[in-house]
Order: sequence, then structure tokens, then C-alpha cells
Amino acid sequence: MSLPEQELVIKAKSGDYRAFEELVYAYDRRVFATIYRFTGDPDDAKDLYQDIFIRAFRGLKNFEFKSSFSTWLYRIAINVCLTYKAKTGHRRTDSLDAYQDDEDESGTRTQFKAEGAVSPEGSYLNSEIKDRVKDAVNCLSPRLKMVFILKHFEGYKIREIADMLETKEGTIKKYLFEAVHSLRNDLQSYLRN
Amino acid sequence: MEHNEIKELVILSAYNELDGYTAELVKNHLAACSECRELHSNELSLRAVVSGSLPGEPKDRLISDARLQLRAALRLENDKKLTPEKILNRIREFIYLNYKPILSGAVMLVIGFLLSLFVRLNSGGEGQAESLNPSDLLKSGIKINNIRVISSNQQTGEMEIEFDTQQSVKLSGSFDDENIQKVMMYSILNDENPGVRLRSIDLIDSKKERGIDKEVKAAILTAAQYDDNPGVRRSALKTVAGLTFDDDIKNALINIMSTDENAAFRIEALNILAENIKGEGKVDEALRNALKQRAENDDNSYMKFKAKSVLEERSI
Repeated sequence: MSLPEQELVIKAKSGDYRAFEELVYAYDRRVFATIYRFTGDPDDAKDLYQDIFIRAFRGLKNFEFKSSFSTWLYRIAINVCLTYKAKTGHRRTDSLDAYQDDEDESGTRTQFKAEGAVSPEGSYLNSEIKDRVKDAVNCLSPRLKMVFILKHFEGYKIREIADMLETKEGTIKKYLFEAVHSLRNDLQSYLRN
Repeated sequence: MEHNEIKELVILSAYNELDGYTAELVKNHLAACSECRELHSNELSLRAVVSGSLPGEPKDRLISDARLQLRAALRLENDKKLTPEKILNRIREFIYLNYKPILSGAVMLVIGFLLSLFVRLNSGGEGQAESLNPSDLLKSGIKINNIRVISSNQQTGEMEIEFDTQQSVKLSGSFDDENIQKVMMYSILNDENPGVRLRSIDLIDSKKERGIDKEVKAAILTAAQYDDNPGVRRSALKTVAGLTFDDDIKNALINIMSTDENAAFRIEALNILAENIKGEGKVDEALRNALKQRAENDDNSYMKFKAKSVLEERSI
């Protein structure tokens, strides 16, 4: 960003459309990654992305610098995602078809290299395991899933996630434990192998 | 610390959420306790399995699409913010400052069209077609399309149909006219037909020496970076090359050079950048990093070579 964030926010609050666009481009990639992982569907992710930033644009006049702009933006994003889940229901299969994007341009399905795998052999997963993992993640309640995504994929600290969800750190830890336990139970057989 | 307490901390340890002292305690405990060691290894395994199974970073094309749609939606949202006072001021300014009668006429035409649209929207419910005399419609030159049968009675022969109407609006004025430039900008960003987007860009390109509005410039830059159609992107890039170089253009070119899937466009963006930074003393960090990345990682060997050459020429 060419201007400090606070200055951009002040300009955007006063109706400077360009300043708002600069703010969008500073954060939208990360926001998009989160909602894409949460919905598992590129089209839904695009719709939610638009919804989030339009809400931010409308609500910016009420932003009072009580938190950082990114935390405030993430609060909107989380609310939109959780509302989306409430509307679409808790579908087991919602993400299953969404990862076709992982195919390369020749149409070949790429294999994933897992981060921090214990052995090189264990870092390549077949599609059956991937489907099971997606199922297991989709079975988490929307809140647990969101906390898990923010922690696991986006690498936010528990304190930051607590700020975003406007709750206590202890609650976030509890959510994270529950999510991990649930996933561990669902995927136990694959973890042993 | 108790064994059970450590078990709780293993998850936090896997996510680097422990302070130095506690992390050390957990580490020492893991060295001595096989049960917790297994749990820890299990935790790392789970992380690996999950990381490899959910989507990675979304592709640039997906984000570009989302940005393009958002941009159009934000413009609409921004336009909604116009108060009646602002609109009146704009009209007043325009009428008083611009003495050309033809342009005033054009503004009145636009206002008239908007008013009629407003009256139409307010006179009928949502989805309700107007009751009009088709002969009047046809005489007025309004095009009819998308005819739909809502209901038909086989016995009585009565039927109800609905159709869309489309009316052409003529706007006269010079290329410098704000309204004409806005129509161009709208077409570049929103028209579904790539041919129309292309024609608008070409028209702007042919008149660019007269100066273009900053929003039109932004639309051209958006098209050059994010339009789905390569022909439109190419045409927009050609127009960008002829504009006065500034930070907005530089950032857009860096983005094209770094993300466009078409190597020819990446090379063209690099060429325009190289041409424009010739006289500059120092290359800024963003450009330097982008060039280094291209020189090391680009799929296209010419692009790699070219980026490397620019870096060497600039003695970076």
C-alpha cells in the first residue's frame, strides 16, 4: 500500500472510493483464501467475497479504530460465512466437488504434498483419503470449522482469532481442541498409516 | 506439570502456540514419555493429512474474477451514495460550465431517459410487464426480445405473454465529455460481450492523446489485468503502453508481468515497464522483487532471460 493503512481508512471513510479499493486489494487475497476453504466452492466464494466487501464499504462509516482494520474486516467475513452456512445448511457434501480446481491445465489430477509430513511416503495422499478428510472437515460445526481454518491454514494466533470472533481465548482453544479431536477420531485409520 | 496437562498442550505445541518456557517443558516431557510422543506425532500427521487435502491458495484467475465483479458492484454502490443535492450540483455545474448546446441537449436526453426509467420502475410491481400497445412500441423503434408465454388457455385461446424491450439511447458530444467516457468505462467493465468491450477500448485508444478520465484509465488497467478474454487484455495492454506512466500503471504492469497466464502478455508488460524505467535512477522494491521472481521462476525461458537482462541493465 502506498499510504499508511490508517490514512487510507480515513480517506475511505470520507467516501474516497479509490482508498477503499486499495484497502480491498491489501486484504482480499487472504480473505478470499479463507472463504474459499470454508465454502469449498469457487462460485460461492466469489459471491461471499462480494458480499463481504460491499458490507465493509457500507459499514466503514461506523468503523472507529477500536480494532485493526483487518480484524474488523475479518469479523465481517466470519459473520458472512457463518450466515451462509446457516442459510445453506450443514451439508456433508458441500465441498466435495469443489476441489477440481486442483487439476492442472492438462486435466491431470495433481497429488498434494503435505506440509510437515512425518515421512515422504506419507506426504502423498490418494483421492480416497482426501475425500474422507473433506468429509471430516465438513462435519465440523461452522464455528469449529472456521476456527480450524483460521488457525490451521491462515496461521492466525488464538488471541487474534478470539478478537475476530469477539470471544475469549479460552473459547477458541476449546473450539480448536474439539475440532482436532473430531478430525483425529474421523481420520484415525489414515493417521496410523 | 502433570502428564494429563501435557497431553492438552500437545495440540497447542503443534500449532506453535506455547510460550518458550512451556514449550521447553513439553519438549522435555515428550523426550521421556512415549504415549505423549505418539500423540504428538499423531498431531503432526493430522496436520499433514489435512493440509494436503483441502484447497491450497486460490488461483489468481479466481481472485481476478472476484475483483472484477466486486469492482462493478462497488461502482453501483458508490453511485447509490449520490444525494439529490450532489446530482443537482453536478447537473448545474455541467450546464453552466459547458456552453456547447449539443452537450446540454445530451444531458437533458440522459435525464429524460433516467426519469422515464424511474417512472416505469415505480409504476409497476416487480416482474410485472407493462400493458402497452405493441403497435406504438414498434413505431417508437423499441426492440422486442425474449418473448415468454406466461399462460395460455387451449379452450378459449386466450394467452398472456411477457417480453423485454430494449431502447437505444444516442449520446452526442466530444470524447472529452464526462458522460461519454463514463459509458465507455461502464462498457469495459460490465458488458458481457467481449467484442463490445474491445470496441470501447479501441475507441479510447484512438482518442487517448486527448486525455482520459482517471476512472476510464482505471477501467483500462482493470481490463488489462483481469479481463477473461485475451483479445480484450491485449488491446487494453496496448492502450496502457500509450498512457503517461505513473504508479497505477506501474503496479498494474507488475501484476500482469507476475500473474498473467499468457507469456506474451507478461513479456509485453515487462517491455513497457523496461521502456518506462529507463530514465529513472532507482528501481523501487516492488518492481525489483517482481523482476527477480520472474528471472528465477517464470515458466517461459525468454521471460526469464528478459527479466534477468533488465535487472542487469539496472545493476540490481
